[in-house]
Amino acid sequence: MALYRIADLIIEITPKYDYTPRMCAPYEIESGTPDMRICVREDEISAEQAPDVPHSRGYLESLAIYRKIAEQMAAHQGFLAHGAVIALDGCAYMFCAPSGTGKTTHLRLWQALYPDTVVINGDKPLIRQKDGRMYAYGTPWAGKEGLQTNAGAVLCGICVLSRAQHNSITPIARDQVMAALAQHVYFPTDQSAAQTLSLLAELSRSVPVYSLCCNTDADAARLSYQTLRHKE
Amino acid sequence: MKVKQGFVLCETDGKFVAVATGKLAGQFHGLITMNKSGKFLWEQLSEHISAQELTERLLGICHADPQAAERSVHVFLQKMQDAGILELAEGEAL
Repeated sequence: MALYRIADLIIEITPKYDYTPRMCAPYEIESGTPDMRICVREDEISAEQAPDVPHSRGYLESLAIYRKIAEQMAAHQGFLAHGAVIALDGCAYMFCAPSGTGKTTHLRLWQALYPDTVVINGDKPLIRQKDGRMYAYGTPWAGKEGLQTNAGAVLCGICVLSRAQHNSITPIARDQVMAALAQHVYFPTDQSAAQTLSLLAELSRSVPVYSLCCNTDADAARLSYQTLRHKE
Repeated sequence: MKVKQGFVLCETDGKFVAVATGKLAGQFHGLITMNKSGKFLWEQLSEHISAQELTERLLGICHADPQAAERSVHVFLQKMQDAGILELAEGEAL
C-alpha cells in the first residue's frame, strides 16, 4: 500500500503487482489522509484484457486501478478525459481525438515551435473543477509514450482534432460542445454519471472548444496556438 | 428490445441525456438528448418490450392519435438503434 498525490487528491493504492507502484513512483507521497482508497480484484484485472493483445497482469491491474479512480472522480468534482494536454504560461490546452489520430504528433509540433510547452498528460488526464475553474492534471497514466508531468494547470481551451489534408479550425457552438466532448470523457457506471454530465455542461460554458482539422505540418500547430492563445 | 446495459439517462439543464458509461464510452459517439416522452419510452425499455407494447404504453399516458404515437415510437427506436443503444431479442427486428 502506498499514497500518491494525483490531481490534488491523496489516493491510497494497494496493488497486487509491481507495475503500478513503479509507474506511479513520481507521484508518491509520505503521508496524508486518503481521499480515495483503491484496490482491485483479480476478476477486475481480467476484465481489462483486450481479446487480441496479451498484456501482463501488472499492466492490466494498472488499467483496472485507473478505471476505479475514474469511477470515483465525480465525487471530487472531476472526470477522466481522453485527450492530450499541454501547458504554456500557466494555461492548459487539451486535444481530444481517438487513438492514432495524431494527438502526440500535434504535441510534438508545439514542443518544437514553442519550447516552453509542457506536456501535462499525453493520453488520459484528470480534469477537476476547483473554485469555479476547470483544471487539467498530469497523472502516471499517460499512454504508450508515457508523456506526463506531475502538475496541473487551468484549462483554457480544447480542440477536437481530426485529420485533414488542409488545416482549419472552427469554434464548436456551445449547444454542440457536450455532444462533441462526450465521447472523449469517461462516464462512471454508477449514479455519478449525472454528476459527470453536469461537469461537462459547466466545462462547455466556461472553456472554448474548437474543431481542429489538421495535417502533420508545423502550420497545424501554429494555427491551434494562434487560435487558442488569442481567443476573444 | 431493451436499452443495452451500460447506457444511462441523466437529467441536466432541464434536458434528458443518454450517455454510455464505462467501457461502452469508446464505442458511442456523442450524446442523445430527449424530451419527457423520450424519457418515458427509455424507462419502459429497461426490460425487453416490443414496439407495439411500447406504443400502447405511450398511448396510456398521453392523448395522442394512435398512428402518430406509433410513428413517434418508431422514430425514437430507430434513433436509438442507429446510436447502438438498443439490444434486440433473438430474431427481433425494429
